[in-house]
Amino acid sequence: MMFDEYDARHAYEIFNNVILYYVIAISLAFVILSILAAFAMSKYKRRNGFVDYRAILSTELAPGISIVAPAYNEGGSIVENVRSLLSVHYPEYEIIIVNDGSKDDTLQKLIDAYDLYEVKFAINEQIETKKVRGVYKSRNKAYASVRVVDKENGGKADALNVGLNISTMPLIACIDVDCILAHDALLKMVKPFMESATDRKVIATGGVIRAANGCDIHAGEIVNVKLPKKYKVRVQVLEYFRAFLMGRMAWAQIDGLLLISGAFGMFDKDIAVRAGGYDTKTVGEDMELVVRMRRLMHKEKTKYRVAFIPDPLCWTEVPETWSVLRKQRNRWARGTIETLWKHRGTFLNPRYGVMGMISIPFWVLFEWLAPLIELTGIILYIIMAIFGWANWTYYISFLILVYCFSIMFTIFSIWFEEESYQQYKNPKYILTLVLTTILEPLLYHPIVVLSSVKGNIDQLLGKKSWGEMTRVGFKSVQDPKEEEKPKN
Amino acid sequence: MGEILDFFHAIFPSLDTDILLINTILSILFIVIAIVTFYIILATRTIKWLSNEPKITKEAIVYITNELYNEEFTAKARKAYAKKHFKSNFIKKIYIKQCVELHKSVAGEIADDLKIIFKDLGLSKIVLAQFHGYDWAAKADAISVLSEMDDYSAYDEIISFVNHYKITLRYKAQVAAITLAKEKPFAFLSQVTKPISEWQQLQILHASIDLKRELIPDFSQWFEHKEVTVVELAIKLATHFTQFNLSDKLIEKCKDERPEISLQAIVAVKMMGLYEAKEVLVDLYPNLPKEHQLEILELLPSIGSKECIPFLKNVAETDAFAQRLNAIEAMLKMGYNKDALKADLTDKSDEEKDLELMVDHVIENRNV
Repeated sequence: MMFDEYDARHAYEIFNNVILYYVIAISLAFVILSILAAFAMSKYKRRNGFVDYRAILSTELAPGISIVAPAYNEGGSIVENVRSLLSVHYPEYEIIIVNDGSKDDTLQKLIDAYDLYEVKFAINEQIETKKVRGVYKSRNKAYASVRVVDKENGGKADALNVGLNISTMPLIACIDVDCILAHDALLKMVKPFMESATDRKVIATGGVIRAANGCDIHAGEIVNVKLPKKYKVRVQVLEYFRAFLMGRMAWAQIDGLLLISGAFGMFDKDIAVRAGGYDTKTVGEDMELVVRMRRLMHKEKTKYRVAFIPDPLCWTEVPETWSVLRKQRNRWARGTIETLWKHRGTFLNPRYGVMGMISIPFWVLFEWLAPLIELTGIILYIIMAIFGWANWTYYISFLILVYCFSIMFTIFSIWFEEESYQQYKNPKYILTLVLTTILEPLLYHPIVVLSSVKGNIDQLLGKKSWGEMTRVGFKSVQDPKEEEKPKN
Repeated sequence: MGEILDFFHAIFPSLDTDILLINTILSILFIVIAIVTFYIILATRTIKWLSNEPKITKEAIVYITNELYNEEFTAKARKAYAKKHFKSNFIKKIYIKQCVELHKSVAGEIADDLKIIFKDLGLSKIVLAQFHGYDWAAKADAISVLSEMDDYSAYDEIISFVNHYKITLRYKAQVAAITLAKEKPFAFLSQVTKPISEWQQLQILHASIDLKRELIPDFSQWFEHKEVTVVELAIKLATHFTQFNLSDKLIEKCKDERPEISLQAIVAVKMMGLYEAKEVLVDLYPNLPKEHQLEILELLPSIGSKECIPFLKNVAETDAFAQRLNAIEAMLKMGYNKDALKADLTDKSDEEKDLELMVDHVIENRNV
C-alpha cells in the first residue's frame, strides 16, 4: 500500500490533535498542582504560625539524627562545609562525612582542621558497600559529633549507604556536603516524624532547596539573599520555585510525593535500610529510594506518608555554566527513566494507591515524555513545512498559547514565593525575575529539552556516568555585624 | 459554546477557525492572569512597604525594653501610650508579637513585668477578641499568646478545645490548660479522646517545667487511660517529675502488651534508675522488639549487678549487631576488664575478630 500525500496529511492532522490534547492535559495537570500547592501552603502556614521549638531543644527525648554528607574532591570547601553543619541547632545529632575516595586532599584537610585520628570501628554491614578504609573522630570534644569515613570510590549512593551503615540514630538526614543548612533545619524537618503518631507513619521528609548562587555567605550561613547575576542561574531560581514551592508541596498534599531531593532529605533509617538503601546502579538514587520505601510500606500494609516542608531550609549551588547544566539535566532524565522503568510494576496499579494511579503516570507522561514529545512535534512540523503542508497560522497561535501559559505559571510561582517566605526582599528582584520569566521559554527551555532528550539517548546507549559537576564555590563575605562596627 | 465562539468570531473576524480562535482567547486570558498576578505581587509589596513594619517593630522593641528597665512608668502612662500609638490592629499585632518573643527569652521578675506591660497596653483585649473570632488558626494563635502571657481570662473556654477536631487548636489548648491552670493542670488528660503526638507530648512536658510542686498530680491515674498516647505521656511526666512512689507501677508497665507503652516504661526505668526492675527486664528481654532490647541494655549498667553478666555475655554472642555492641558497652561500664572480656568472649564465639573489633569499637567510640 502506498503512503500518499492524503495519508500523510491525515497522519499530520492526527498528530496535531494528539499534541493539542497532550498540551491541554499537561496544562490542566499543572493548574491542578498549583491549586493543590496553594491549599497545602495555606494549611502549612496556618498550622505552623506559632510553633515553639524550645520544647524539643531542651529535651533528651528528641529522636537522634545522623547527618550523612558524601564528599568527593571537596578539598576546597570541606572544612567550611563541616563548620556550617556543626552550627545546626538540635539536641542530639551526629555528622557523618563520607569521603568517597576523593583524589584530592579532602581527607587530609579534615584531619588537620578537626584534629582527627583513626579509630577502630565495627560497621554494621546491613547494606553492601565498597570497602571502608577507615573511620576517624576528633580529639577535640567540641567536634565529638563528627565522624569521617574514608572509603573506596563507589559513587554518591554507595557513600550514602555507608552512612546508613555507620549511623547510630533513628533518623538520617542525607545532604550534599556543600549545602548550607538553616540553623533550625533539623528542628523543622523532624517535626513531621514526631507528629506522625496521630496520623500515618512518616517515612521521609523533604525540604525546599534554594539556589545560593549570588547570596552573601558568612561562616557557613546565608546572611543576605541576593538574586544571581547570571541569566541561566536566575532561571534555575524560578525552576526551584516551581518545583519545590508548587510541585512538591502539591504532591505532598495528596500524598503522592516521589522525589525528595538528594541535596537535603530526612528518612526513617530503619525503613530506608529495610528497603535496601540507595541503589548504586542508578543516577537517580534519591527518587528511586523514595519509591522503593513507599513500595515496602505498601507491601507491609503500613499506613504511611512522605511529608514536605516549604520553609527555606537548605541552600545549594546550582550550575553556573551551560555545560554543567546540560550534564545535570541529562543525569536527571536518565535517573527518571531508570526509576520509572525499575518500578514499572506500579504504573496504574491500584495496589499502590496515589503513587500507582497518579504520581507514576504523571511522571511518565509529563516528566519523562514531555521533552520527547516537544522535540518530536518540532521536528515533524519542520518536515511538514518542507513538504508545504504546515499550517503556519495554527502553529504560531499554538506556540503563543504555550508560551503564555508558561509565563502565567511561572509568575504564579513567584507569587507563591512572595506569599510564603519572600526571600528576595529587594523590589528590583521581582522585576528581574519577571523579565527572566519572559525570556525563559525562548533562551533557556530549549537547552533543557535538548539535554533531557540527550539523556534519553544516553540511557538507551547504556551510559551510566554522573558527569563531572564542577562547582564555582560560594562567595564568602565579612560578617555584616563586623562591617557595621566603627573603625578605630 | 457555539454562541460564545460566534461572539468571538465577530470580534476577531480574521481568526477563521474555531481552534485558532480558542488559542487566541486562551493566550489573552493567560497573559491577563499573569499581569493581574504580577500586579497583586507589586500591590502586596507596596502595602507592606507603606505599613512601615520594620520601623514600628523597632519602636515596639525600644518601648517595651524601656518599660521593663525603667521603674518610673505607670499603668496610666502605658494606657496613654497605647491610645496615642495603637492606631491600627496591624500596629497592635506587632506589639503583641514583640511582647511574646521577648517573653520567651526572659524569666523571673522581668517576665512578670512583661506580662503586666502586656495587660497595661490593652493587648490582652485584642488577643481575646481574636480568640473569640471564627478563624480556627487565629484562635490557635491567640491561645498561644494567652498561654505565653499567663492570661487566665479565657481559661474555661480554652479547656473546651482539648478535643477539638482541628489538631492545632486542640494542641494549643492542651498546652494552655497546663500553663494557665490555677489547680489540677493535668485534669484535661482524663477528657482526652484523641491521640497526642510525640511532638505534642514534648510541648506538654516543656509547658509543665515551671509548675509549682503542689500542682503536680500522681500521674499513675492515667496509666490505664484508653488512649495509648495519654498513657505514654503520663509515664513521661511521671519520669520527668521523678515520682519514685510509682516505681512498682512503672515496672509493671514494662510488661504491657502495647509496645509504645512498654518502651516508654523501660525508658522511665532507665531515667529513674529503678534497680528493682532488673530481673523483670532480663526475663522480658527475649520477647521484646529491638528498640526495647537496646534500651534495656543501655540501662543495665546503672541498675544491674554482676548477676547480669552471663545474660550480657549471651547477648554479646548473638547475631544482633546493635544489641551486641550495647551488651559489650554494658559489661565494660559495669567494670569488666577489657582484656578479660576479649578473652572470655573469644572463648565462646566463632567470630573472634568481630567481637574483638566490637570491644575496641565500644572503647574508642563510646564513653566507656
